[in-house]
Amino acid sequence: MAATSDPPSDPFASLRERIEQPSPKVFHALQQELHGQFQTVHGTTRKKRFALTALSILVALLLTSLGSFLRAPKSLLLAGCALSLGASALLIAGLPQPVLPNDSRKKVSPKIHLDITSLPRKRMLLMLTLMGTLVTLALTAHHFASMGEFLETGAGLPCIAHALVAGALALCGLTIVWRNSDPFSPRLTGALLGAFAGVVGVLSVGFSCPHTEGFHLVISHGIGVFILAYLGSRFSARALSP
Amino acid sequence: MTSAPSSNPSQEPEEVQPTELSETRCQHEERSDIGLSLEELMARYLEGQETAFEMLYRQLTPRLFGYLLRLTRHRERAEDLVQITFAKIHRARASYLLDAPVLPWALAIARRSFLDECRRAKVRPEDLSRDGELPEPGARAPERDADLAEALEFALQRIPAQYAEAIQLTKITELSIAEAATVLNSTKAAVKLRVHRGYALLRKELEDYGRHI
Repeated sequence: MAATSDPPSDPFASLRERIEQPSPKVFHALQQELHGQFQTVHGTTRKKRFALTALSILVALLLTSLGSFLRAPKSLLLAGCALSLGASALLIAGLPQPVLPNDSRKKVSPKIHLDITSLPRKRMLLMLTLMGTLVTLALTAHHFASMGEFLETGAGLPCIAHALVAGALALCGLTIVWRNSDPFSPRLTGALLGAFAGVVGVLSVGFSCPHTEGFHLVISHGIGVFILAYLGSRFSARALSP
Repeated sequence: MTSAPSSNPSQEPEEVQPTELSETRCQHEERSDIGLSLEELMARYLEGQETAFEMLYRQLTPRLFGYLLRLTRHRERAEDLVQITFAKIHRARASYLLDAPVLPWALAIARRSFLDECRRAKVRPEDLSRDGELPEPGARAPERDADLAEALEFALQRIPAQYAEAIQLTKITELSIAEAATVLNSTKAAVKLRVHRGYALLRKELEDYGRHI
């Protein structure tokens, strides 16, 4: 048996010292592929993403409820604006967490505060959005009729359709704003965008629907949030990941 | 691609010979003419500076390629994935959040590219040989008095992939736990656990060869 020496203090230093390089033809192929494509582009900033997110939510809300939006009480109008701004802020600020610039493992300029996405926060935000929407709808109901009565009235299919259309429009806008932004967890971010888009749908249908019965609000208005969250995780995710 | 796409899962994995094209870190840093961070290079690249792209490529590639090489255990596939990754970085550069860390972002894109390729090839990441059997580990067992680096490379291939990946990102690529968790789409606690367990398994593997860590 080979004589064993004292274990090295950092056994991986030897692996770090090895620099693996692909063959030069990889870079040459890239140069050919990207030839003439080095135009100036503007990377996105948090402010820009926040503004575009808020704008896409507001536009979707206006387009799908224009008539009723203008007749809606001020409280609902304020709620709509607050939703778009709040949702945008949550998406922007609630997702990343700062990496401390004096992290000794990383050579980072102390001037730069770098953010990375946080998986537990995203999951929590998604659950809060889904459950919070249902709970809010239930709390705003004036009364709960029986399920049988709810089904007899057609289960609010027009409201479901309205919420889905409004939400889908918002989801398209959000997907365009957030495209190529998340190689880390695109499905979860897609679900989150879908959930927020679903809330836009809830608000949009809420402007025009006079019903205050509980099952109608929770099911007909609220089911779109779950459907759009699923659609976001399946389809928007493809656009979110580079 | 550099040549005809080589992502043929039925090909025998090419035995990795890291010493052939390796250079030491000192030589690499001497040749590098940059005092700029990856984030600063990325900002210049966004302004359209082709030289900044080249410098970014030179700084990122060693870590990306090393990571992909250990994932794929196949040099040509790793090279293809490097090319795919940089092409995606180029297409997605407008969505890059200014001042966000570049390395975890690039590694995440590389990892997704690897997973997409596996899904497209409809094989598990371990790959199948022509017989449909799981391949033997790519590298041969090192001699008992072999270089520690070779012994570690061999041992990393023998432990479960999720542990090896966590160790590679934290110990070799030197990402923080938080950054590694982001790349792996996992939580910090899970990554710490993987590193801890992986380390224990590595130690056991290396003890069989008379090495200790």
